[in-house]
Amino acid sequence: MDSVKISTLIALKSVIDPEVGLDVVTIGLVYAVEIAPDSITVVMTLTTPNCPMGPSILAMAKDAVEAIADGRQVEIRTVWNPPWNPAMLSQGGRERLAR
Amino acid sequence: MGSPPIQITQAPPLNAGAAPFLAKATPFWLPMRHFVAAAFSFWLFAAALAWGNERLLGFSFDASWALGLTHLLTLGWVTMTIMGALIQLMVVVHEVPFSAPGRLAWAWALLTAGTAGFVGSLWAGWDRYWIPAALAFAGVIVYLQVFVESLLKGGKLDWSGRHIALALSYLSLVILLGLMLAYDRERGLIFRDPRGVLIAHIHLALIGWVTLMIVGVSYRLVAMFSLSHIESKTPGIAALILANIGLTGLVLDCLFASRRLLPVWATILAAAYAAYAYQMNGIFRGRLRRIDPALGYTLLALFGGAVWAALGLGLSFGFVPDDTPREIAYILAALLGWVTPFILGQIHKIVPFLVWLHVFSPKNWRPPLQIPRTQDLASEKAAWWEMGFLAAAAYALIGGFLLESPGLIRLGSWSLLSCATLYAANTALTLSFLKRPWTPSKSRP
Ligand code: HEM
Repeated sequence: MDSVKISTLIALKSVIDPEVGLDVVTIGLVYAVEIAPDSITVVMTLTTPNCPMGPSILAMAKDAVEAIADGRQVEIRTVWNPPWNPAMLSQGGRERLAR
Repeated sequence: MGSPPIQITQAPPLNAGAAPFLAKATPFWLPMRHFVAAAFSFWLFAAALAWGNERLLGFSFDASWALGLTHLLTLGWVTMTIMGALIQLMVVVHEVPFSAPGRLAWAWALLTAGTAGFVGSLWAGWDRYWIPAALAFAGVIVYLQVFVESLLKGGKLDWSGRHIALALSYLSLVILLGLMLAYDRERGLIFRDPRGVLIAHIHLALIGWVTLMIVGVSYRLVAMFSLSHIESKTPGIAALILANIGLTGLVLDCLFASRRLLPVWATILAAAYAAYAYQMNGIFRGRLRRIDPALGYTLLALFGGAVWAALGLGLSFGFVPDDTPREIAYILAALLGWVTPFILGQIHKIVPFLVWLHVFSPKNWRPPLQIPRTQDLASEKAAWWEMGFLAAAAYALIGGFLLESPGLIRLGSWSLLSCATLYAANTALTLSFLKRPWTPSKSRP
């Protein structure tokens, strides 16, 4: 199970928020990854609710996870609580943004 | 990653899935045609100023030409861009889309035709320029009607949203007074103190319409683009209250009380600006992002706003003589020192974003296929040069009119033309991705 979780996170690291320029894991948008025998559920948020780019980022996340899902059902569950805030950005991400 | 400590709640579904959501998104050309018309107006303004700047000083001062020039910038560039941006921002700030895209396209056509006719008649010396101006008025009314209808469909009116709704209400007053002034200039029947009405029109426009819009939007967009957050809204709330008191007092004083208390209103308005600047300082201090051209422009605008407020205080207290060249310097401080850099900063984000959304928003995407970031769709170097030219232009022009120096005015107008040309070229570069493919740069991380 753990290896599927790791592959999911690696897949999600290829999903770039086109405005911020970093991947969704580094930005801190991915809150949880739940693995079941026949499904993968990613619990994630967006930097701003109603961001017009949102559906596109979520679709990319779904496509990326489906590519490694090995036949499992993939669900991207969007949550707004807790709302994302800049403190959720990883240290590496902060350093790259400051450059 | 780590699980968040707070309880997670399910969000309502966003628009739709991947590719299908584009069918529901705002049509590309609905906001974009505003930006294209606005870029053209900005360029034409700069070209006309470079070509005819001697008509703005001394004995050769040409009032009709100057009035046409002002409205090419205020209606053609500023109002047009804000209206386009609001089409995009409506969903973000008010959480409802504009409900009638067809009528918005009509509003755009009326505003464009009205502005072209208004400016064209002034430049051609036709006295009845209030007739085409009425078309621009109709365009704004249609736009406002669609805005209100959309808001009534459950739109949210938060802190930023309230600024926007107020700004649009002030816009309707601006245009109504403008139309009456234009009619009165030809017939001389309506106002006993046209100068008071002119001051009211100018301030309803520059503070009520444009500045309140910028202030409301900046709390949301600058915080979002800089990856910062607002800890306390108190300074911003103070700014909103003070700005409305100062503006209402000034307008009532100008319309009905012979402008007796102008220094009082100017002081209140300057205090409002100081509170806003303090709030913005907090946003900039908390940011996680480096200063890119969009944020650089915002800083330039914040500086310009302070210069504008200082000149306003100077004029109202009599430290700066209240005559035509100094009034032009004051209006230019608002329009080129404060409003234009702010608009350019945001538009440098919005136009690439729209192209990304409609062209690169992936359908059936699979890693490791690379897609551009929004910043890959424009030239950052050109944007920095543009900003340099704008800074040089604004301060050479403000200084030029304060000192009545034709040399500085000429320098400023040519710098502005360089800025507007680069901006048009950068916009064209972004739009070129509608037709040509994007190739990833090797240097990209
Ligand atoms: C259809 C809309 C508008 C009409 C008909 C109109 C009309 C006028 C008129 C007739 C004057 C000169 C009055 C005089 O000298 O006696 C004037 C001045 C001015 N207006 Fe407007 N206006 C309109 C919209 C706007 C907007 C939207 C803005 C700003 C965002 C604006 C900003 C100004 C400024 C700064 C001046 C003073 C500059 C000068 O005298 O050259 N106006 N307007």
